[in-house]
Amino acid sequence: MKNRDLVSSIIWMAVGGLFVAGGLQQGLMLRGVPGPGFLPFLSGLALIFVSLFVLIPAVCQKEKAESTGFFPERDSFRKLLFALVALFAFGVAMRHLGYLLTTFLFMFFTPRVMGPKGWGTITLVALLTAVLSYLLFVVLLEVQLPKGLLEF
Amino acid sequence: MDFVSHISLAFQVALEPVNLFLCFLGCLLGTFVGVLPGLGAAAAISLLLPITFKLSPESAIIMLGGLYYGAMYGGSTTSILLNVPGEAASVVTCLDGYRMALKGRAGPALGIAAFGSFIAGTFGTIMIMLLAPPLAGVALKFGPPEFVGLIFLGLTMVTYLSSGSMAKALMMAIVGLLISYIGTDIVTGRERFTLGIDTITGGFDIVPMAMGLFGISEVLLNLSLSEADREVFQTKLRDLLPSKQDWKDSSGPIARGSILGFFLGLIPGGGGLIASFVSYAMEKRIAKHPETFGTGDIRGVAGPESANNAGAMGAFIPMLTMGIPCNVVLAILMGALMIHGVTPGPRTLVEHPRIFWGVVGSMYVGNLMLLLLNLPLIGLWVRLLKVPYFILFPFIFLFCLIGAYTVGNNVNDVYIMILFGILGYVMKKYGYEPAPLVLAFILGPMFENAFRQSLIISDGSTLIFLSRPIAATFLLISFIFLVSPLALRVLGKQRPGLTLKD
Repeated sequence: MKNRDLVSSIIWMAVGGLFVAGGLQQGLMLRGVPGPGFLPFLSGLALIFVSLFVLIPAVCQKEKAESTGFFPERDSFRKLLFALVALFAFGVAMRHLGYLLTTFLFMFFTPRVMGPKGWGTITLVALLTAVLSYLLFVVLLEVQLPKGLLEF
Repeated sequence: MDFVSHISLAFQVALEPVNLFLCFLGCLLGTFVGVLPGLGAAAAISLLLPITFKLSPESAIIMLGGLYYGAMYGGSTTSILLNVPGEAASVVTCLDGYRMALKGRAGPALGIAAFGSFIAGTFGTIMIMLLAPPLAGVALKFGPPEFVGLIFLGLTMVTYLSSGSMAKALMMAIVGLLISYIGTDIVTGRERFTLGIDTITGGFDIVPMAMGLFGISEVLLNLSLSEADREVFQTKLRDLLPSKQDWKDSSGPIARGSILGFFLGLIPGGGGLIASFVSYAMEKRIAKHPETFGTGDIRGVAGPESANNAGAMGAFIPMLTMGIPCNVVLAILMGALMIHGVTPGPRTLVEHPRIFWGVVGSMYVGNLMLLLLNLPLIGLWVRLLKVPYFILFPFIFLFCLIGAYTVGNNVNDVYIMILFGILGYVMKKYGYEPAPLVLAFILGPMFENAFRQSLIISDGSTLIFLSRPIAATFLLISFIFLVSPLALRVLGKQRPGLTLKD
């Protein structure tokens, strides 16, 4: 955990530093009472201070093998990237294609993150999910979801 | 007479047909979530929060409350059958529960877990009815300095009781506070730390944040691992009713677990998790033959499961009477109430009696429903465990996506959720827990408000926190907990963390 503690503590110290600077900019005191920058300044300082309790042991520690890799399996990075792209794509597509179509496409393609799967099952699950979730959220719960191409 | 009228109102609200149905739905969904490893109560409540937007505040909190203690119940099923806790508070149940299943006694293990949880939940509900009104009266005497002290104590306890590094947990609590400052300053109306981004002018919303940190990140973590073969225990689940000997062995642990769990649940940072660990440790310590623990001793299931559920009940009191959530799940529940226009606090009992007593009444009803649900439907829950993950995880994603979008009908909330999901993944890989962050985020605005009001009252003097006895006491306890790990290290001892070893 040595390298990860080293890197993370430095990053959090930098974050703390940003809030300290931001707090000073916002103003610590306003007509004798704490201003909008007071607590962000104090909290930023506290974060820098506490980060030292992670940084210093990490510097003094002997190099040890990490218990689990950041991407533990060979295909972890690919699966995570695929999943994140699918999530972002859902957000982008929903505005243009509408909820129903986007959900079908999402449920059709996303299971393939975990490898090739039977088309039949996936298609059926995707179709059922899109329709049933539409009925639940839009019809029953009257949640406002984008209509898009299909106009419903 | 007050007590009688309170009970009457409690059951009047809880037994309304729509609230009864929603309580049932919450318990069912909670058990479902508790059974599924990887998706805890916090993520589940975040996912289902948007469903409650159309409901009245009391109906929403009844349903979400059912989900919370339903998840506690459901977590024990996978602990016993799979040796995989479905919920963090069910970790301890794995130790003896699974061993009982290996010996062909999965039925009694599941049965005593369900009955113990019911008894403890009922005890917890009665205690809430008795303790909540006087506690609310005490809380009314709290001023801003007292709230600063109490919130600070709550954040300290959450970090002290964390299972990993206390320094890292404290850092996450501070980060949560910092994130809460982003947006518009409530006093001056000035934007703070928004970097000119319109989406966060009003600050971050709890829903996308919680969904990202708990839901999305958990799925990403599971996806990064290979799908290990999970051997679901293939036992015929006969004899779910414990024997006379089982009851004789379990009655003491259930009673002790109920009392211990409830009072531990009251402590900020407490709830079911710490209660179950402490109960197990206590039962092992007082047992005549402690060596039987870990080999399939029913006391190792009865005590922790009772403590777990009693703790979940007790944790409601500080939230409903003082507006201080004890753990991250209740912080999200509190966020849900605030979305519905109700700010929990000392005046909740007086201004929203239907909400307060309705929730209490539904706890009793919910505990009964869970007892009836868990035992007959065990077969169904076991079948659920066999659903392949490649079907399950897209559903979790979909719920998160819909939930994040419906907060403000804004797709930017979806992107915020995904970013918090990535942050959650990275945090977990680096050994940082998201729970203190979310708790601090919820408490941040209250903390800042109370802090600034205190300094206005005292003309800028921080001595107000020391001159007010209650505030000073809270701060002193917090200080002791903050420095004790350092002191223990100097003395060559360890912080009593959440370990199951002697």
